[in-house]
Amino acid sequence: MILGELSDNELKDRLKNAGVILRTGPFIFRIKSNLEPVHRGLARLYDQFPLGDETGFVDFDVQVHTPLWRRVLHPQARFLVDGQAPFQPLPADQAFAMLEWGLNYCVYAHAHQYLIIHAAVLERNGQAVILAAPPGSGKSTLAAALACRGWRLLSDELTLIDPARNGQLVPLARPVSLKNASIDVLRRFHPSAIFGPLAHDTSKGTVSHLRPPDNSVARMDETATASHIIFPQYSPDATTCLEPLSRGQAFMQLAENTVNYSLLGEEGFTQLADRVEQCVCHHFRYSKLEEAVDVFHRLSS
Amino acid sequence: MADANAFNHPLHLTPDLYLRHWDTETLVFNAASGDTHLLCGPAAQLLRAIETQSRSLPDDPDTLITKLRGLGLIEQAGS
Repeated sequence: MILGELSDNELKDRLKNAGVILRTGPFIFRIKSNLEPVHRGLARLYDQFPLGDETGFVDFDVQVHTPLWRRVLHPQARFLVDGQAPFQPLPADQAFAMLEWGLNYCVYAHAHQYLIIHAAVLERNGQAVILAAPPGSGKSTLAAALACRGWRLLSDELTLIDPARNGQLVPLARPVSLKNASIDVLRRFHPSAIFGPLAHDTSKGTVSHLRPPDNSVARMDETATASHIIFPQYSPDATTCLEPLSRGQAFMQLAENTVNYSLLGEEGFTQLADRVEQCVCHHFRYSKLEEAVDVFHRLSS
Repeated sequence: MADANAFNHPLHLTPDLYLRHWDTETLVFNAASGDTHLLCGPAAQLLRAIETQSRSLPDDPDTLITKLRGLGLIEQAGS
């Protein structure tokens, strides 16, 4: 059963009571919430995701809720995972963005069976491209554009490398987080794109999430082999340019973007070095999304 | 090229190093310290020479040897 098969009332009821058991890639979340943006965001962006067994095992028990006494005056959203609150409360209208950040937190803070790179990853024709860059580089915008042009989205935020499966990349297929001007850029680039609730005045500015392609969600159990590691940089006046990067430089930049590199020690080094060895590595500067997508199409053809 | 025999004691890599050699670069992970180092040019050449016990070292290796010892990547045999 998928989430979209629940009626609106069933979804609301589950969120408020037993919780929605949602599977995204290898993780099962129980999600509870009494906040409308969470209900709206899940209904709009997660409708194709499979629901887990209500009595079965879950990896993370999460809640985004507003306490009774905060529902009227300056309502707040609190995120809890297994009863703990890792973040400060946020305004209630940021609840869906908070859920997304919270789900990311669950993965990067706990799933150390994987080497986790803060990077987007997409696949086309059997070739998976890792897009690694610090926030503000245009990584998610580029990932969203590629997903809108037929690339399979594995993740816009967390690249999971599985040492137990020979370094295969494990999909999450969750919505793409876009900020500020990128939201309108994507609306113009792909007018039929579906977005979740807008969250204004967050610590990152205005945030909205793009619905992942149905095909990416349907293939969330299908791992991919990394073929390219690319460090994108958006610059308003840049000419589209792909420049080779040495393996050593690529490794060092990738390690800086790897969440648990130090924690995994020798295993982290070996996995990362093996991925660099099997990939072609580039810097990529761009300003025009259509040109950028063309470059990536050529890479994967 | 300098000759390794110029040194009183042969050098070797410290234990717990993991190496990758890529063209002119050598990537080193030191499991004892948790540090990762990217060596290029003569430094990479020197480390490779020590690893393979080659007799040929880059020119003027003293400064590089001091640096690599400082990073905990090489030591004198028997130390």
